Amino acid sequence: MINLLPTDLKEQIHYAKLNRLTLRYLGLVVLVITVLGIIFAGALFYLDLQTNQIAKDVASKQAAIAATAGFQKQAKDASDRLAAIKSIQASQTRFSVLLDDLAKVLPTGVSMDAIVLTGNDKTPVKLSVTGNSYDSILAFRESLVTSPRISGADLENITQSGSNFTASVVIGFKPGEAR
Amino acid sequence: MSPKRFFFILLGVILGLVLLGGGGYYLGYSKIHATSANYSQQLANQAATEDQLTAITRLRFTYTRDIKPILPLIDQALPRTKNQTEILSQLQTIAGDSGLVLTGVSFPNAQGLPNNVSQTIPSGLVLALPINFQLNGSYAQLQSFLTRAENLSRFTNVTTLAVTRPDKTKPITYSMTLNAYIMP
Repeated sequence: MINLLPTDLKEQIHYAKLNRLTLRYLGLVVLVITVLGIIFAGALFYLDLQTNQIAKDVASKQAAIAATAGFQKQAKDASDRLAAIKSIQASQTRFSVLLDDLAKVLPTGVSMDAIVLTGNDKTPVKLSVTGNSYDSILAFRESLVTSPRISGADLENITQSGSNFTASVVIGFKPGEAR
Repeated sequence: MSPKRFFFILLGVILGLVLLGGGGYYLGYSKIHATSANYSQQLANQAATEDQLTAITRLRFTYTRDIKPILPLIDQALPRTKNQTEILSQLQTIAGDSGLVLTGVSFPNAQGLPNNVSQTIPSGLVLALPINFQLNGSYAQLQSFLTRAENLSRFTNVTTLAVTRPDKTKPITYSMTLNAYIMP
């Protein structure tokens, strides 16, 4: 069939058909935008609601925690004191035991005249003893080195004083054994 | 209005709506992203405060059950003040009980105004009140004294012990420095 309509009219008809299709697309676009808008708004509303509820819950819990500040201070104080007690105990000397151990290595006839204990195993300790014989002093020196606490013993001098002998001995303690 | 003009207007409207929708989508997505990040942060805060509260509740239970009953002992072992007369009295008592004679006691010179911790020196986590004293007696009595001193209800530590016997006819002299500990 020959279309004898004028070109201008034919063009207008063509656009009128296109407009029908375009209007459908326009509706689709509006629909998509509306649906997306509703989804986004709903999600935002829900998230905001949840966030606010949690924030309230957190605030109330933090208030409960803040209310225990006094107790926390007490507990920290007790904890600090127990830690301090532990550290004191770790560094406490037991000279009663140490002297007992030293007494065990004193041979018969030897008595201690002077000793200075400081608990420090890095410095030598000077001992002055009196023995009833020269041999007792030597026995004392030999006996000292058998002690599990003592790392070494050096005789500095032996002097006769009447019927007795006095001696000066320097001893070293094994690590951790001077206290 | 001609169909052709209307077509171009419709195209413009669609284009505008697509651009607006795209921009809105970007903004909405960004907003949701930020809000969900905030939500996650709040959830993490909630979990952390929940854990903290649980830990405090557990701590309170343990404190009440285990620590509270021994608080007087802790305070006695590590007092908040130097309790100078109390420790001197204790030393005098244990010296007497051991058979030793307490011949002299001295403390560090007072610096400034006297207070609950004056005359003390820092010693690790605590303060120490050094007490120098001299005792006379036998070796066995010294052993007894040291054992009692090491088991006082208050934490003390004999830091130096000097034993001298200048003459066999005289009692042995013991010079000691004992640290009595304080935690204000």
